[in-house]
Formats: sequence, C-alpha cells, structure tokens
Amino acid sequence: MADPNNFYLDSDYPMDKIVYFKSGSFTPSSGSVTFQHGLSYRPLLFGSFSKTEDFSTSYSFNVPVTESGEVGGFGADAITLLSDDSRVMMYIPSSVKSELSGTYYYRIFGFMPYIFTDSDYTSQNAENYIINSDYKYYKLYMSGEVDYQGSNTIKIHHGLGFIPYVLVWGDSMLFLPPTYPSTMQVTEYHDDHFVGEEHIKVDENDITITLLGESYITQFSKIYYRIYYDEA
Amino acid sequence: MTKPNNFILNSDYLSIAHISTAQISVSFPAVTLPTYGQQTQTIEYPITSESGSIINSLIRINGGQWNVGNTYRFERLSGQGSSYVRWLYLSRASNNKLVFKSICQNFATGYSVTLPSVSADFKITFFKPPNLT
Repeated sequence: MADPNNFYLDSDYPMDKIVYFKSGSFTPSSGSVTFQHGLSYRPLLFGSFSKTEDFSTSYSFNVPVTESGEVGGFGADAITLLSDDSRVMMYIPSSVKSELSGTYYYRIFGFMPYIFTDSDYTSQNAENYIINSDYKYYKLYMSGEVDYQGSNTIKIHHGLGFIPYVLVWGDSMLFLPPTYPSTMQVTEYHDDHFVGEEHIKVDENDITITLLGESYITQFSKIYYRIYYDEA
Repeated sequence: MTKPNNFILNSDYLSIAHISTAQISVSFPAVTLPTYGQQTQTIEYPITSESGSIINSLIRINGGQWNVGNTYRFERLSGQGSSYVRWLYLSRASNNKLVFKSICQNFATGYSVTLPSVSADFKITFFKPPNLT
C-alpha cells in the first residue's frame, strides 16, 4: 500500500471536518464568556485568541497567560476553553481578569466526537475553498472515546510505526464550576515528583494515557482521542 | 441533515489545511530562588509561520518520551524543605517567532531552592484556519 504520508489527500482516511466555528471579540477583564453552540452533541474545541484582530500574535487556550495564579497569587493561569452539552465557555480566572486588559479576539473551532453522525454544515460561503491543493490535509486514522476512572492507565494501539499527530480532549467533572462535566483539550504534561506523572505519551505504536486525578485538568471521566496518519 | 462522519470528504464542512511542522528545542538554565521567590525565563525562537495559525504540539522533557501538549508542569510540593513548581510552555506565536516561557516558583517557607536546568523539545504542527485560504 502506498504510504499515506506521501499524499495530500487519501480517500482511505477521512479529513477533519470543522463542525463548529465561531470568532469574535471579548474582554477578559469582564470575566468568563459563555454562549450556546446549538449542536446536539458536545463539540471537541480548540482555537486561539489574540490582542489584535489580525492575530499577528496569538495565544492558545489552556496554556498559561499569566505569571501569577488565582490561588494565593501562585501559579500560572490560562483561559480555558470548555464545552458541555449546550454551551461553549472561555473560563477566565480572576488572575487573568486582572492582568489582561482591553479587547481580545478569539477563534474557536470544533470537531465532532466520532460516535455522532449528524450535524449542520459549516461551509456557507461558496467563495471559500473546502480544500486547496497547495496544502496537505491531515488524515484521520483512528478516533474514539474511552471512559476513564481514577488512576487507570489506558493504552491505545495505533501500530503506525512512527510518532503520529495526536489530539486529545477530556470530560472533567471537577473543573470550576463543578456542577457539570465540561470538555477541554488536554495540553499539559504534568509531573508530580511525589505522586507520579500524568501524561498522554505518544510513541511509534501506542498512545498511553495516565492521569492520576491530582490536578484539576486531569480529573477526567472520559477521554476523546484522534490519531492521524501523519507524522507529528 | 448531513452525516459528516460517514464521509471521507464532505464539501459542506470546512477543513483545516496543514502549513508546516517544526521540531524545536529550548533549554532553560538552573535557577535559585529565595523563599517564596519567583522567576520567569523567556526564550524567543525565530521561525517563519502564518499569523493566526492553529498550533498543536507534542512535548518531550530532557530527552524522554513524547507527550501530547505544549505545557509541562513539574511539581515538588513536600510541605517541608524543597517545595517548588516549574511551568514550561509555548507562550505565544507570531509570524516570525515562537515564545517559550519557564515560570519557577518556590513555595517553601524559610528555604531557598535551586531548580535544575531543563530541556524541552516541541514537535509543533501549524494549520491554516478556515476562511483564510
């Protein structure tokens, strides 16, 4: 079989499809932002934000943007991008509220969890191109979800023989506010000297999920993964 | 109502185009902090990319295994003596550079602490957002 890595598009493997897309402005100093996504499922979200509308400098969600934390001033806080069954939230802790002034701009994209099949279309402008032969489009090799409890280690075998591009999200019951499960992209490798590592390791054959429930971002009840037939 | 997951390609849905990938290594030196001290170290890495790119990455610390993410957080919170945290992460991106940061915080009362040096490798993938092709 020809190596899919050599092809811009491969009919054996589906391309990612953006089922949710929203952009706009927000004011971090005003606190968390919530809006309805209008989907019948919980989208897997990712995106970025910027101080300028042209995104000349951009920041990722779920990555520290402050050097002082919400809890006692210690920590490095982020704007966390979350979804639940009806809402999208940019969760903005108090440390971020006080440090980021003025207007910022966001771009939020969403994939559909693999088990769902129905969604409204997102391509609404005939003058935009769905694909462009100048660019490569990553090929989705495996996707799925697994229930996760406590400190289990889960290994998902891909067997590709190289380190693939991987995306992971998790449903957290304990993210603030703790009244509903919210889904967020996993972006952190956490190493607690006394407790152990919390990580999603990727090698040539497997991804290994080990989350010890020690930090707020890793007290997950469900993990969503996407593994691509494209080398990271 | 369409069924996007049943199709290899579906013209009703936007896609994200891959722009480039890069493997980048950064090293942060050891740092000594007084009790409740904090220090931020910054490394700017020149790279040509497109403004507003969607960025995802794998991260590897001190030559270990690759992990999903762009942030590494190391904690040693013992409640006595040596007690500190280091955040190492990809802070922001522009069309000509990436900025990496390492924030170190000493949580120990009455103790200074020396955090060891750390090296981090990032496998970074850049995608062009839809509607901008």
